[in-house]
Amino acid sequence: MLIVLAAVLLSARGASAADEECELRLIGRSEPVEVGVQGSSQAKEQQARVDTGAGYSSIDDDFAKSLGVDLENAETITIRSSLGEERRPKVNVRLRVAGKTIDTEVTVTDRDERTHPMLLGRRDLAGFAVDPSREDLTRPDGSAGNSTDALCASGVIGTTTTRSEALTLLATIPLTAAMVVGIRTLIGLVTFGVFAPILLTIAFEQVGFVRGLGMFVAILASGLVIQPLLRRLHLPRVARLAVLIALVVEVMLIIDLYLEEFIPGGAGAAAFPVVVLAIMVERFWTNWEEDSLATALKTCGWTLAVASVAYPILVSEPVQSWVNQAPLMVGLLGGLLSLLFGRYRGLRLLELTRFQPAAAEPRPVVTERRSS
Amino acid sequence: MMHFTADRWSGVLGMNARNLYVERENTLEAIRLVNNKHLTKTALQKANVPVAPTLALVRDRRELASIEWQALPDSWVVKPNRGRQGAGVLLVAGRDSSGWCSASGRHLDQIEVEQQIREILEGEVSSGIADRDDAIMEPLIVPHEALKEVVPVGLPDIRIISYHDMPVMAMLRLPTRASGGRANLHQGGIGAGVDLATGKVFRAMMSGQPVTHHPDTDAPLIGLQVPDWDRVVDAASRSGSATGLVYAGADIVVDQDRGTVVLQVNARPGLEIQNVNGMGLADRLERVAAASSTPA
Repeated sequence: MLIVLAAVLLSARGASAADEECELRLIGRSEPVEVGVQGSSQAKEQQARVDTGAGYSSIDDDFAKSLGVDLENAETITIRSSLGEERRPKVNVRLRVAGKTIDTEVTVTDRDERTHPMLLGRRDLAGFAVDPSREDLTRPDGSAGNSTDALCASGVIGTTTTRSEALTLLATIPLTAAMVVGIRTLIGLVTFGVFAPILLTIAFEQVGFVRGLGMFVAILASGLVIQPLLRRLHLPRVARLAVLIALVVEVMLIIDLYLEEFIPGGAGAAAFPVVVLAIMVERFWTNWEEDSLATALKTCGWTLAVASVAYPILVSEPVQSWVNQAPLMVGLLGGLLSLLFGRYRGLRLLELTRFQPAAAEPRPVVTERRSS
Repeated sequence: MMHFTADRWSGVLGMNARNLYVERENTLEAIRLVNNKHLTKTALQKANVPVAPTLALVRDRRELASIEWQALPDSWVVKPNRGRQGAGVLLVAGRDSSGWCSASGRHLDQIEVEQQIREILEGEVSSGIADRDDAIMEPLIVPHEALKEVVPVGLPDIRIISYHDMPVMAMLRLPTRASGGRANLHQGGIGAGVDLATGKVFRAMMSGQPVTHHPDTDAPLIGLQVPDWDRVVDAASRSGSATGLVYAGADIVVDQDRGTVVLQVNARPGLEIQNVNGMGLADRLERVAAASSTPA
C-alpha cells in the first residue's frame, strides 16, 4: 500500500515537473485570464489579447481600479513602443492563465479604445504556444475553453505531443505485460511468448485494430506460404529468419506503396513489430511440424485474442487519461500486478477442464501403514 | 488407514504449483545438465543407472567424416545432444543394398544420413538459440517382447516422476498407428497408469477417453505387467540424485537385450500423468516433502 502511495506522489511530481520543463500549453489569440492584486484574495476574470509583440502585459486603468489598485502612489516605468515613449504605473499582480499561476508585474494604461481591456505580453507567456488562428482554447483554471477549437487542442502540442504519446505508450507496456501474465497464470491460455501479444497490442494502438488485424493475417499468411520453400533449402535458422524478415517488410511496403488506394491510410507498416512477426511465423511453423496445425492455430489465435482484449482496455478513455496523469504509477502497477499474478500457485481456470480425469472421484489416500 | 479427501481438486497439481516445485527445488546446474544428453548419461552411469551405450559422439564435421560406418551395428539412432521433444532424431533400423533403411521401412541414402547429422551439428534441431550442437549415436532400442506384443509400431516408454529420490507416480506411454509411432499423448498415443508397487497397468487413456485394449492389436491393457519393473523403479529413484534434480521425470525404456535403460531425465515433467493415473500429484508430493523433512 505504501509503495502505491509513494508511486502516486512520485508520478504526480514527475508529471508537474514535466509540465514546467518541456510541455507547451496551447493558447489562442485571445484567452480569459484571472487577475488579482498580489496579497489580496480578490480576483477578476478578464478577456486578454495575447500579444507576443509586447514585453509587459498591461491592463486597463478602470479594470485596475476595480481590483483595488492605488494608481496614484504606484511605481512607474517607461515603456517604449512604436508610438514612442510613455510612462505607465506598474503593479504587482497574480495571473492565472490556462491553469498556470504567474506572479508578475503588469503596466496600467487606458485601453478604452482597444478591443480587449487586457494585453498578455511575452514576459508572461513562457511555457505557452500561441495559435493565432484560434481563440478561447482554455479557461483560467486549466480546463478546456468554451470554443469548439478547444476540443481539438487538448492539452499539449507540437513535438512535445509525440514525446508524450511515446511516454504514454511506454507506460502501458508493463500493464499489457501484466495482462499477458494474468491470462497465462490465472486462466491458462498459451500464447507465442510474452512479447508477441504485447508488441501486437502496441501495433494495434498505433495503426488501429482492424487495419492491424488485417496486416497481421496478411503477413502470417505470406510467411506460411514461403516457409515450406525455405525449409527445402536447408538454410540455417538465422538465415531463414532473416529471409522471413525481408518477406514481412516487403509485404508491408507493397501494401503501403501500391495498395493504399484500397486500404485507406495505408498499412501503417512502420508501426509493426517486424522481427516479432517473423519469429511468430517461424514458431507457428515449428508448432505445426512438431505438434499439429490445430495446436499452432490455437496458439496463434490466443496470441491474437490476448492482444485484442488488451487493446480496447488500453485505449479506453479512463486508462488513457490515467496513464497521461500518472505514467510512473501505471508502470509500477503493471510490475506489481505481474508479481502478484506470478505468485499465484493455485490451479489455472482451464486446468479445471484439463485435469477433470485426475479429479474425477474422491480417491483413497493412504495416510499411514499400520505395522500390525 | 484410509480416508477420503473432501475436495476432489485439492490433490491436483497445477502448472503454477509445478513451476514452483521446479524453481524452488531444481538447481540451475541440474537443469543445465539434463538438457545435455551426453553429460546426463555420464552422470547417470556414475550412479550405476543403466543407460544406452554411446556408439559415437560427433562434435564437428571432421568427426562426421571419420565415422566408420561399416563398424556400426545394423540398427542405430542418431540424435541431437541438446534436442527438443524428439526433433532431429533419426532411427536406422537396418542396412540395405545401397545404404540404410529407416524404422518406418524407408530407404535412406548415406548422403541423407550425413545431411541429417550436419543439421544436428549446426544446431538446427536443438532447443534454444544454439548455433551448434553435438550428435549422439546409440544402438536402436528394441522394445521388450512383453511390450512388443501390445504395440505394433514405435517405442513404448515409462515416465516416472520422483521427488527427493522417491518415485511418486508412473505411466506407460504406448504409441499407436494414429500417433504415427510416437508416444506423444496428445497425438493419439495411449497413456497408462502403472501401479508403482507392482508395475501393473490399472487404467489407460487415449485422446482423453479411458480405453481397455490397444486399438491396433486389441491386446488388453488393464493388468499388463511392465517387464523388469523393479529395476525400472530403481533406475527412476536414482535418476534424480544422479543428475541433481529433486523434482524429476525419468523417461525409461525396457530393451529386449539390455533391459532397463534410462533415456533422459526431465527437469519440468508434464502433468498429463495425473489424468492418466486418475489422481493428482499434489498430496503425494506433500507427503514426500513431509517425510524428507522429518528423517525417520
